[in-house]
Amino acid sequence: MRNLPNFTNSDAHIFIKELMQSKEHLDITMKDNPYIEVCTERVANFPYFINNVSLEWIINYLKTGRHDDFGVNPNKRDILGTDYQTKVLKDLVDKGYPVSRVPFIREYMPHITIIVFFLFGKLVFRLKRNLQIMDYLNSKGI
Amino acid sequence: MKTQYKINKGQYLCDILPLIPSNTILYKKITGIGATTAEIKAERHSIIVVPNKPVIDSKCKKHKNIIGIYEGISTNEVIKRLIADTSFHKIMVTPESYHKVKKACQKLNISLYSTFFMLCDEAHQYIDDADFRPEMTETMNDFFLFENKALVSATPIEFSDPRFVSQGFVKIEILPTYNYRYNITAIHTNSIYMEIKNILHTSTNEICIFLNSVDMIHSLIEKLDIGNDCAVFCSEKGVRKFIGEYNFPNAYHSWCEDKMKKITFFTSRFYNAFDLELSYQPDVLLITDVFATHYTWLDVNTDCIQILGRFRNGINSADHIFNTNRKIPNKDRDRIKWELSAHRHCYEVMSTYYENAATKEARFAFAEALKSIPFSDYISNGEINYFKIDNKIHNICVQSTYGDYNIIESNYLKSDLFVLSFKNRIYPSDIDKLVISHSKFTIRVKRAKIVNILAQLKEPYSETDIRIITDIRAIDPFIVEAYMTLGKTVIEQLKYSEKKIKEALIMNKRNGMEVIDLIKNSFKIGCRYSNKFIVQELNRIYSKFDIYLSKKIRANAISQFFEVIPCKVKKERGYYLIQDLV
Repeated sequence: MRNLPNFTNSDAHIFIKELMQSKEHLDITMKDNPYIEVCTERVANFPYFINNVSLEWIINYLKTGRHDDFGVNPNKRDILGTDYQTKVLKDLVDKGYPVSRVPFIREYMPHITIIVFFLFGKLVFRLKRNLQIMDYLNSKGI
Repeated sequence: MKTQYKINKGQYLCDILPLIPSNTILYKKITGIGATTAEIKAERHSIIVVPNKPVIDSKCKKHKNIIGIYEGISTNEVIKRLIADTSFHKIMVTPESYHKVKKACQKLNISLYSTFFMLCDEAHQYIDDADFRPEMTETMNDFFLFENKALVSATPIEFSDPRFVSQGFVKIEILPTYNYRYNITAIHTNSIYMEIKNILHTSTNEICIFLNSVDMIHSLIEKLDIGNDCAVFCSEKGVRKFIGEYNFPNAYHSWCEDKMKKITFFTSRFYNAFDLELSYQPDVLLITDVFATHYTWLDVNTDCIQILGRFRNGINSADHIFNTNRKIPNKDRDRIKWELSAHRHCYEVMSTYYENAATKEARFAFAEALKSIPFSDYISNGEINYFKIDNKIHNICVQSTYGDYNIIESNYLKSDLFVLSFKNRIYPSDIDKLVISHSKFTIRVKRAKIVNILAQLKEPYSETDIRIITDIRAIDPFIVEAYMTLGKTVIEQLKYSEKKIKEALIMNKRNGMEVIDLIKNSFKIGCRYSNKFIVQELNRIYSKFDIYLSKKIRANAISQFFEVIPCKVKKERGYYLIQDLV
């Protein structure tokens, strides 16, 4: 994770909101811990620790472009569990969002890259490849 | 120099050679005499490089002190295990993961080359896989830096790398004093399918079939309707294909006896090093179908010995079922070496011109000409890659054996590892044939998915976009280059045809070598082309550049670019392409 001195999670939250207000296209990469990396075409990746509510806020922006952050406390920590990325992905698949997986051609890589494209950005998952996730993606035709 | 040691029945390597000496190539002749185990038990730090993951799994189950390193194990995990290790470090690693050992040792300030004894097991694989596993030769480059090192193989191998001589490597040959030969029946047939079918119907034993083609295994399972009675052991990619695409659940990437069934298929991942310890003695079928795919071609002197050596508790019978293709040219090792030395000479002359070019333009021209010389395939990082040369010689030698069944028979007879019985089974030409079904998810479909993803990444690219493109490039550099150069619309217009896309990319490069590059794109080694097609295609390529030759183009013009032999293509005259000349 990139270290940004004197840049707290509240600072990151405010910055993301500013980007949202100017209707920037946000590229979000899901990470373990749990945090996300946020970047745009002009801003390099920076980390933002997430909880259930802030994650919902981010996804809602990607879908609708609405930036209202009422009730979002960036300093609240939730225990999201080690497989929260998979849960988020499955939730988006179930809701019918267009999920694209980078297919393997000849060789298999240790990670699977999955991208969900939204109107106001995209959400990128880089999941460790295992039989369960491959079975799940195959069963959903992804 | 060669040293010989005799081994009696029931003896292990450590009984006659307590410690594998450094700078040796150990030709152990028979499998299962505990060469790897001897190194695991040796009182020194060891790195044992093995070709595939299954052998690491199997050894890790038996020896808890082994640090098994393969895909999915991180460098940090290696560091943790090395710190926790209180006795001699015993690392087993695949060539692809060897870099993690180096990194871990660097971080722990361990002097890798002087601390560890490096043992490369199944050394023949370094030649067999050199053409498609670059990590194999990278690992071998590092191998020569170790103060103490050795190679082990059960099969005879010839290495041409001069470092073996300059570092004073010595051959050690193990000579069994007992009968160690395998009884094998070589069955030459014109119908692999019928032969397998007959054996499956008559045998009451468990059967293990070694066939290195997932598509062919699947087609056999379907046609013989044996889905409920069989299991397949193959790579992870193969497992996904069986389960996800073929809807066949009994496919596994790691071996376990419980998962085996009456009929069990194995692909090449299971040909080497790992121990098949079964409570019964199965019938073993080795399959080579020269018309299906070259991946099924088995070398009598390496693959067949290795496969039969997997069965630690013996086998009931072994049959090698194969077909032959008389169009395959017969070349011996000396002829191939002579050809390669001619290509090398040509490369060196051109290299001299390149090094001494007086102008930038001349240097560029010689650089492009150098790239077109076939010997450039054997240059890695400016150095000759001798493993690739050995691989080429080995591949052509194996290929040549399948031009005539007499050669296979004579190879078996020459080897002192087999007791051969030979059968010729020819079926009527209208006999039921096996049609090999290929994956429904073609590369074309997958590439279309990739292009759709790339098209949704808008310029200027964000940091995340660049990371995604890097990931995709690692999977398929060709389609990324095509997308970046030609764009989605052109790729779609070309209907994702690899040949057409390559042609468009070549036309885009403008490096002066377009004609030769296009000819190499249109004509492939190992294929037959009719005279009519050759003339049409050469005319098409020349006309793209408005080149009008003084003489009319004839089909034999193809011999300027390839070594060819005349042949028939659907009753028409044509040429079979043997190898590149430019």
